[in-house]
Amino acid sequence: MKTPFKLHNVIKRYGEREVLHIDQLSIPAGKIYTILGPNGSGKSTLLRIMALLLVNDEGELEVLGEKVTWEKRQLLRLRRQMSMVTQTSFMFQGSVYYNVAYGMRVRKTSSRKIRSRVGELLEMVGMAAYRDADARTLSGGERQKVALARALAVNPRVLFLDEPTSNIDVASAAEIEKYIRHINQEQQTTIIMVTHNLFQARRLADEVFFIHEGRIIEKGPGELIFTQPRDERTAAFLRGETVF
Amino acid sequence: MEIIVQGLKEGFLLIWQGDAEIVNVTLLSLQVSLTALVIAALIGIPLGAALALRNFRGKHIILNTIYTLMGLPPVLAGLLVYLLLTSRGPLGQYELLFTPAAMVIAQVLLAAPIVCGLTARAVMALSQEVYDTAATLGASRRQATLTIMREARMGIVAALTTALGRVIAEVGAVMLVGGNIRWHTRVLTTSIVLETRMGNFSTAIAIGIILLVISFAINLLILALEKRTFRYENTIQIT
Amino acid sequence: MSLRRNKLGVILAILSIFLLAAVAGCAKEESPAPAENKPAETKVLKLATTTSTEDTGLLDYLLPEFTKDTGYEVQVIAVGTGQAIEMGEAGDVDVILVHSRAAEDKFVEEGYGVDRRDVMYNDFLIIGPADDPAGIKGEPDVLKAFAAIKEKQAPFVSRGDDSGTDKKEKGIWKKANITPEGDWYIEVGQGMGDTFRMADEKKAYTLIDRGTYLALKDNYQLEPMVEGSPDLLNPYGVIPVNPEKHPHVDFEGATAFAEWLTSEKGQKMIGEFGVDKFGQQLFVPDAK
Repeated sequence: MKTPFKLHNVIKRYGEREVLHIDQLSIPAGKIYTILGPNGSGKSTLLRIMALLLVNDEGELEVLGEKVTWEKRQLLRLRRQMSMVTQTSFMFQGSVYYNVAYGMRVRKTSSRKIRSRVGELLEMVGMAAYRDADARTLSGGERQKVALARALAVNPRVLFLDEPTSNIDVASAAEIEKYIRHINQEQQTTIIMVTHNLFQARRLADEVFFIHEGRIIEKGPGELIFTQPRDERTAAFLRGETVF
Repeated sequence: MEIIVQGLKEGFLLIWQGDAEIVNVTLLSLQVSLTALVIAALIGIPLGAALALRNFRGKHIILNTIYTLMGLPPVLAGLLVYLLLTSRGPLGQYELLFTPAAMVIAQVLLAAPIVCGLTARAVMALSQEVYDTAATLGASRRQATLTIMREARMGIVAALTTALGRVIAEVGAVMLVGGNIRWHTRVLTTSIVLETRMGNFSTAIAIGIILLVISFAINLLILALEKRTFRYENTIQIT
Repeated sequence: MSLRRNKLGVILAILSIFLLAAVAGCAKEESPAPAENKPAETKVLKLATTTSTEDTGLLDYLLPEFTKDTGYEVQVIAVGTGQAIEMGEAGDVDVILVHSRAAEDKFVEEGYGVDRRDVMYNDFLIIGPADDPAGIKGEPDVLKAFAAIKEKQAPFVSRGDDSGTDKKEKGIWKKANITPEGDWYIEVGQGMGDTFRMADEKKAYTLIDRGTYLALKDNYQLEPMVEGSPDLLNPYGVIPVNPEKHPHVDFEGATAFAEWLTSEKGQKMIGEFGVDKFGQQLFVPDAK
């Protein structure tokens, strides 16, 4: 799949207010993308629509080569090729093991396979010792790592990350970034990440979308957008000024 | 004070001797209330979940009605069932009045709104993230719903406990539709009323003790279940 | 905003309805209090009695007159004879008005009550379904009627609550040398009205006091089967609680109540009660 996402005239409203308006967007496979923008700009809305968690009000959406009809079986088929780490890394009640195994369990993977895969992933994110711990007692950084392992357990073709390092310390964030890069390189997983952390975007992204008041006002290679922003609002955001 | 001590003494003696009538009354109480609870759970849990998870017109009216029904006076529930089952009523031909089946029906009427309402509340208290997380990990709609119910299970267990506590301790409805017939529809609560009315306070206390012990046992059982199931549960720590 | 205000309005409206209802309720209760004749201090007398005296409306008929004559307000606790006697033994009430001669005599013998007086009697009857499966309609001897019911295993609802009526019924079975047992004999452990209702529902026979029968017969279909047998008479007695056992009881008031009931005026009122409503006297005064 060369272009996992194509959006055409996609609009999302909350009541009267238009929160997202994407004229044209295609996202080629295999890269790391970051969606950048101030709070309330529509970043998460865009992410949730692409992850098929939110239905757009207007426009056309093509995901993994299929025109999205929101039909139940199509929805499940498409979702099963993607996974997400949410902002708060919500943990199900239960052990770390239960959480990481969840995606494989709903896919009816054999328990022998689940066991080895969970072990492998926990090893990778350095959480092997916490296998049987109560997932709700973990610290923020630990949760992010478990959430990442959980999302990777299903071998997604697309991985969504919604502010994956927002609530954690610098060391943990650096570790998470390391895994993200690792996954992208090893498995050519397409990674789409929402962040408002400029430095993180700059460190990770192959391509950056800058979103403002629901519209993509700038996109381009990561480095370029930081050094030569074309839009004044992007420049202001990069300088740390509030954009209105 | 004397009468209470005396009552306790005689009460324990009656229980110890395994008085046939008291055993019969106790077993019937358990049978009726547990049957009612199972039926109420089969109706109330799915209905509560559906009310919490679906959006449709009139949802709030239905929810408010159910919340109101949670406090349905037992005697009123009894009266409704009575009027349905009386030989001159719409279901009179089945001759269910003054049978344990009638008592089960009345108790279902009392328990189902509690199970349904508290289940709905427990599910609505969950955050959107439960569904989002399940869905993004590839859960089908059914699997995600089951996961949501799993997350709400502590609230659902609480709903079931509350409902059982209400029906097993309830007297108005079972008195009316069961008729308190000796060896047939006499349960713990109606026995207490009868024995008190007859001035047999010690027997009344004995039966009261049994009722308390049953409630206690139910709660112990649930506590044990919680310990097993909720090993990972967070509790608020106050220092 | 307007929606919110509407909501608030509805809540206020509902609250004010409740409030109005409560106020109206209070007013209703207070208004008929007799202003004239009222003694400076109202004395309260506690009476434990059987449900039959309350259910028939006899007490509602007698007590306002008693209050007018003596200044005593009477608080009525209507229970079964068994519990009424227990309450007297515990000193929870000042006076009891019951109908179970054997239990009453025991109550006096054990020193819990003093000075028992006959007040009145009513009578019982056996009622049953019109098709009369035991064939007892018109049978003058209640013992034979009970034997026939047992013989035919016809359903019979017993109060089974140790009340005066229940004791009466058990006494008749005993006198007829029958131990009532089996599916046909339904012990419900409830008051007379409930027992009547259940017997009607089950198309069964039952023993009932005439007062309750007359008061409720229009609601149900059971018909009189056996009446007038001497074994079916039901005498009531009034007994003040012994102040030597329970010094706190109002013996003076209790005695005033007993005397008033057995006085010419009280007896006359008892005899007249029910004639206008049921076309039939419910209780026969028999004070000596």
